[in-house]
Amino acid sequence: MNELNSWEKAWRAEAQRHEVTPPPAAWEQIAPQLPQKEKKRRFGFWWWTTAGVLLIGAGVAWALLLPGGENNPSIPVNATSAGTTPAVVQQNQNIQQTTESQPQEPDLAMVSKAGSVNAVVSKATKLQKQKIEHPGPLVPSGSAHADESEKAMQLMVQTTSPKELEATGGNSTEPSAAPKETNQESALAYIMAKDMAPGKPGFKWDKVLCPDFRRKSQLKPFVELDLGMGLPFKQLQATTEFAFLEQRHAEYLQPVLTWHGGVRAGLEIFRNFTLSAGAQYGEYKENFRQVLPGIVKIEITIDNTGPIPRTDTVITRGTLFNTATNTYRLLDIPLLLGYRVGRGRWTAGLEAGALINYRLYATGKTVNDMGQAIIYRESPYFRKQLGWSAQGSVLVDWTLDARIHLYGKAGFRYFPGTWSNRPAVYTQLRYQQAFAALGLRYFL
Amino acid sequence: MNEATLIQHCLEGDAKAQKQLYDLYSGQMYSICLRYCREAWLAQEALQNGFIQVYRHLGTFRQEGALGAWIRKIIVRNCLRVLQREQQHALQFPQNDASTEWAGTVQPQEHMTYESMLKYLDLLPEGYRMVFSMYVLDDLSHAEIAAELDITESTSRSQLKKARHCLMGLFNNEKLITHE
Repeated sequence: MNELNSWEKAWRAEAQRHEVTPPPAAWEQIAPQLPQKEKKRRFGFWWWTTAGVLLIGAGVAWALLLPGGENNPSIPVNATSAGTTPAVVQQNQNIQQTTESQPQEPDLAMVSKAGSVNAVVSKATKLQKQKIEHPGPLVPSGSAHADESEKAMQLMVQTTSPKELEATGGNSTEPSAAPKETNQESALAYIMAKDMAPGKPGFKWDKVLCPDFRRKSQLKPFVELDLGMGLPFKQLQATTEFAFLEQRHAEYLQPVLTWHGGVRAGLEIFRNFTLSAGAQYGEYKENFRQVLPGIVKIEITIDNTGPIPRTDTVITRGTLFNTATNTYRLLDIPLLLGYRVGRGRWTAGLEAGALINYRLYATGKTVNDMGQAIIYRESPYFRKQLGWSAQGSVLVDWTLDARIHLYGKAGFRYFPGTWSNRPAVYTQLRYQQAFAALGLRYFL
Repeated sequence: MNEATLIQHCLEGDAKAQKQLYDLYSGQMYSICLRYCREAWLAQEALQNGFIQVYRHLGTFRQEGALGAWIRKIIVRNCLRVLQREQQHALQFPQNDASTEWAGTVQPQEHMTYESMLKYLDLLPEGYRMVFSMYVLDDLSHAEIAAELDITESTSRSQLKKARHCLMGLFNNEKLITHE
């Protein structure tokens, strides 16, 4: 509120109270030009983008987390060993052969004390196939599977009833013979499958989706670098001066092109989480069309071919169309938190975080009202300033070897602040950016 | 219908709401147009252009301040644009210090009719009158005035100061004449 004297306040009150009825023709001129229906599409794009990113992320996670259903025959859980299907018998025989070749496997010995159970499901089949193709311990000592087999054994002791043991010839107090190990393998598989197969009794999603904090905490340092391109969406907004806004929109020529490159250092925690920070540099290049009406062009031609020099002058008045350029540079400090899902060579992940930005209007090339070229180094409209942005992305990671990972990611970067910061400018500018990048992560 | 509902209906293209908004503010805004433009046909043009912009950009109104104040700024801007187009010359801002010539001690009357107020304002040089009118009567900040008139904020401040002194002087002179 402006500072006023008492009489000025009274004058303002009087001025704002005073009304004069405008002529009816004024409304008749206004009414036909009014917007009749305004569609609310302002946030539609953002909702669809967010929904799309979430959907892709969920799809990738689903594909990686679910055991392959079609390749793994499903066996009724309550079937007895006598009713085991031929396919299962065949698989059990295969396992018997492999276990005979390595009878000293400690995990299997523990399992053999527990007796037998009735069925296998997809996870079990997967484990058996691994066993057949790669002779050796079914459950490698010291791996994540070793923990699961321990758990399986404990569950076995709790859930196998004496009747079941009798029916299958199992004995809970004496070590079983080799043929019983076939059933014991199935028992292990069943117990594991019971925990890990969706749709089975006792299955819990949280065991799949949440990181396993019971594992030893592993802090694995890494460095990574990535390079990407972006497609920013230019946003213009006006406070009250709409003519400028319309002019800026009219100047729009093509999407802004960007590239960025960065290097980060980070830690992998609990095998699923990553925390990284570093530095990033990016450039935004914008081409736009300047329209300058009322430009006068004077062309003077001197003809020296004759004995007397002749001059011709052509004066043209018209509109000048000029393609102008602006370049912005960004120095960023990203702080990113990642979460990786799935195991194996291909994994998927989500990454989100904040970036501290040092925005720099680098160069601009336009023409003035006289049609003369002007090169800006820095404009009062866009000056150096500190800001921040939020970023979220979905990534797919390919393990090249134990130390080197390659990844590709796609995401969205949101800038809450405006890029033009002169208070008297009524048209404010900012960019929002969709981007894609390729990167390399090296574990130290 | 409260203001927020009225805005919402206008944005949805409700013709009745648009007319209601016009009826609510057009009298006050036309008065402002007449104050700046003087000529009725220019004032009507400024009013029409201003209201068309108001309806087109009503969605950008943040409802943090008063709707009337927001509309008033748009109307003032359109008045200046119409004036600039018609006059084809920039406003003159006299640099001589008029305060010594017109300084007085008697304050202008607080309870003055609108017509008397305009009579005083008409006696001011054009630059003084514009800045005084925009700052005091229409509540624009110096930054906004500077942007509108293409002058610096310090010029706007000095013009306002001179306009105040000038008004005080005019008022004192009139008092002296009346008493004589």
